[in-house]
Amino acid sequence: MRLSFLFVLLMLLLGTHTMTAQRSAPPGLESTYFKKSGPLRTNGVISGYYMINYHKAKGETGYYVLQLFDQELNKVGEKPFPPDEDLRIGAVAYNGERLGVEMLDHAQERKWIEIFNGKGEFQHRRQMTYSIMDAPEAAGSKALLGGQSMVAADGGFLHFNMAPDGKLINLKSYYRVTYIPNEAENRGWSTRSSARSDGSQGAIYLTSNDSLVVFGVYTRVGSILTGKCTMGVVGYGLHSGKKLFSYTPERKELQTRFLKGKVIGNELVVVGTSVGKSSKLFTDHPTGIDVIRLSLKGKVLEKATLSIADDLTDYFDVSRKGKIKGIGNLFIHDIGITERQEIVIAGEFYKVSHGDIKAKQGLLVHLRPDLSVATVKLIEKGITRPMSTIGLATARGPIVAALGKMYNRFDFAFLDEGKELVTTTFFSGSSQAYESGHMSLYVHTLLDGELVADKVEFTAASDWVIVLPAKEGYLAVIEYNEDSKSLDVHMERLRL
Amino acid sequence: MAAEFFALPLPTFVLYPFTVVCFLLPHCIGAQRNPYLPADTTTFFERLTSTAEASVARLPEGTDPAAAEIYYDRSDDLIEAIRDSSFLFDENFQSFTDGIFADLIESNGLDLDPLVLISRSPSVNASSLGDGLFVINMGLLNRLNSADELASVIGHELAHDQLAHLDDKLDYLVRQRAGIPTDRKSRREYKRRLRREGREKMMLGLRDMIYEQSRHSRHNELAADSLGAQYLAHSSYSSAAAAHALERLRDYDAFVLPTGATARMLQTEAYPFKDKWTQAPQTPFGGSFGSAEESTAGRFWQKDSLASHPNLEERITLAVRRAALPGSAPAPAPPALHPFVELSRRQMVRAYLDRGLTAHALCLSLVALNEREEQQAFYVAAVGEALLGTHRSIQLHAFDQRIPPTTYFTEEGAREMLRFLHQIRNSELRRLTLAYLQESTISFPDDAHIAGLREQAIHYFNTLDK
Repeated sequence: MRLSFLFVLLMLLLGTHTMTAQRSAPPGLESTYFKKSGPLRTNGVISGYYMINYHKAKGETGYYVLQLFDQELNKVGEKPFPPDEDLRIGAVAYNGERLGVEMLDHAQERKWIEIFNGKGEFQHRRQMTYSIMDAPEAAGSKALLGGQSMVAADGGFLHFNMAPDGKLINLKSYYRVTYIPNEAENRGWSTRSSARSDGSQGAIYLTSNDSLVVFGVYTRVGSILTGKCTMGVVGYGLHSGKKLFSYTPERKELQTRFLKGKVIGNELVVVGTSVGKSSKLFTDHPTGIDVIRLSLKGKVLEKATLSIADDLTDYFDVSRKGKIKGIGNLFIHDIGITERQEIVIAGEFYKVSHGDIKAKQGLLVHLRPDLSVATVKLIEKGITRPMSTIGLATARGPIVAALGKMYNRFDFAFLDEGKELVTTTFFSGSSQAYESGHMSLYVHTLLDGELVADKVEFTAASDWVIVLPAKEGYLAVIEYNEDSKSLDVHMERLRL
Repeated sequence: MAAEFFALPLPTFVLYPFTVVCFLLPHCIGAQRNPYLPADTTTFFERLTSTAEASVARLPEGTDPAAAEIYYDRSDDLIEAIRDSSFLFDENFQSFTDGIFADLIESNGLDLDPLVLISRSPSVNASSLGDGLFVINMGLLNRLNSADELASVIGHELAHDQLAHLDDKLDYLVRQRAGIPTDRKSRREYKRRLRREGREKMMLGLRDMIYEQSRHSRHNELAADSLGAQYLAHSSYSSAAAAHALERLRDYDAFVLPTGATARMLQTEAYPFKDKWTQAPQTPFGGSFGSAEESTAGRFWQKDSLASHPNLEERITLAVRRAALPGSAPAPAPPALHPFVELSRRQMVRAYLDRGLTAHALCLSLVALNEREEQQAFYVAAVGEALLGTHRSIQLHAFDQRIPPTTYFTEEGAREMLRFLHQIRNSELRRLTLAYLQESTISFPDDAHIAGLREQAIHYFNTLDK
């Protein structure tokens, strides 16, 4: 060991060991479920992260370990679950007091929520209806519909369930939304689809605060693959379980696929993709973005639409049907709303090729509160080429796109609404990473009315990289090393 | 308002004279001697090389040739480190430490012409590199604030040298050297191992190797203590100082800042400090869940003196016992402070700033400003430089390499300062930096360094805007 190197390190002894200041590599990992690991949100703010690991020694029964991390990815603790070959973890949420874990047993067709305290001690459980839609084979259908199965809420957890009335998926299905309080003695409430409903129904979480939960309810008309649906918005008292309002456009009206909501003062703002009168909510070429302001009693205060065909003509060559010529289909990944009612739409152009996705440019549209276009950014991030057919060569575009999203074929990483900003992140296309040996993250943050661009680079040597939203002004990057089966988790600070 | 004014792009006629000043400044500074290089580098480097040659010459026949390489590497690395500004060559510092060495050598009748290097390292330590070569760290000069305490540590290092303890480590160093990849093939294998075993395991191995390298055996440490105490007893320095010095090394923490000090000292009129910058973040279950294991992330490095001298408690007990023996010189009451405590702290701040470790520099500067009522231009400028440097590190995506995690320091006040650096937005940091430097130029109108720093900050931010 050369002394000069030693001196440099000694220099840092009271400083920090360079390159590793905010890095950590959690030990004892054998298998990490990246897709099921993610941030913990409490009151809309990221309070930490959870990672689901699976341990299995030869000849022994495998078991899950749930690891919690703080905002800087320092380990807070872990909770091992009893060995059980059939046990699966579906979702994890933390509401500031309790940890809720959705668990499934596909062999016994059971699903339930377990609530834990800070010592990792079991508090109580709530049984949920398991259905064919929970089976791994139905993952594609669920991906198409979107939404989260469990979210943290004030004093408890909200669970969104969907199940067919019969054994077959084609039959009429219904949703059930359940509020599970932290304490076992409080029963909470649940609500389900109306039995008189014409078609199958499903529910998607839109937003909540300490007294209200708002979810979108879609009603399917015909087969799930036609994508023909209507969608409305329903508000319930979070603690009372009483229905407060509902809003559903008439069938002859323009239809919206609602994606996000936000309670701002005494108003509710909901946003979604506009599909015209076609009722094909799950389309690969939405005609625009709808923004609806409602009172907390469900009265429509304002409804506005950004038409891709009319309002984006300065930026693209758009056909009358709303398709952007020469670029490809547009997949709207997510929409964010700020407290100032500014809106950020994150999309990605793609083409369907050999039953897979060819992800092209990213798209960001920043709308002012009056829905006028402030900024349109095409993100030249490189192209991710199709890897192989995913068995859907004959499937229609929207289905392939939904599955492509589920299988991470797109380069979009996330859109995150913070308290004061909205952050969007795209990976560089795989072709760019291959050519440069570097992986880049194209990050745009809406801050003080302006989209601030940033680019974070690191070597593309890891076997897997996932990027998660983080505390304001940061990204959380998790790199996986296949050989050592270890994670390198670190925070990247943005130039905000 | 002031901050917004400075954010405006400067017209060319303003930039031109500034560019000229920037160009001329290094030449003007160059007129003074660089304090981080010896006055006569050729002679100095020749002395280091000849010391290595002398060390090799006295190796017994049949010694592994790698042992000779170790000595040559030692001098090469010292030369490289000197060129890298890792040492201070200040006449006053040098004569002070050389004086203590001379006192101990003379009063004990030793035959030694020591070569003492003062490292800019803030770690509280000193080391004997064998054959009369010694390194005294700036951190030690700052922490041990009396000449008696310093003499006790120097006596200890002198004893290591006289007892030829480096020879005892030679075998270990030769073995270790054989394990370091030198050719391309070995380097590839090293990389493969890194990939196979993971970075964390390799870092731990590297750390342990460094500790092992910088540490003598327990037996040799006790022997050096014993002989060092005798050196001290034969000199005019207090024998009781050895125990005091060891206690001060044990209890060392330079980063102790009162709660609220960051907000108070970074308060500006133009851009008031925001409470949210230092607020404790939400943490799942308050930071402890289930079968929580204590995180080792913040304790990767031990305190330096403890890392290389692990049996400290035993040594303190023995030092106290020795001081009570008949014939030991009584402790001066109170111990006279040496004059380089404050100067060494400034050197430490400078070293941290030069290495880009702005959080450390900021913390030490705030500690200094908090100690005295009146403002001190040096530390005010250092605070401004640290804020500017932090902004730069964010722009360069080097923040995580330079600023430690918020739990890195032990004391709450210092952690609060780290939270401030982590949580302030870069756009806010820009406004705060400009406001702080603007108000500092008003407080210190005659301070050219602060004025220059402000100009530098304005130029930097304007360049970013372009």
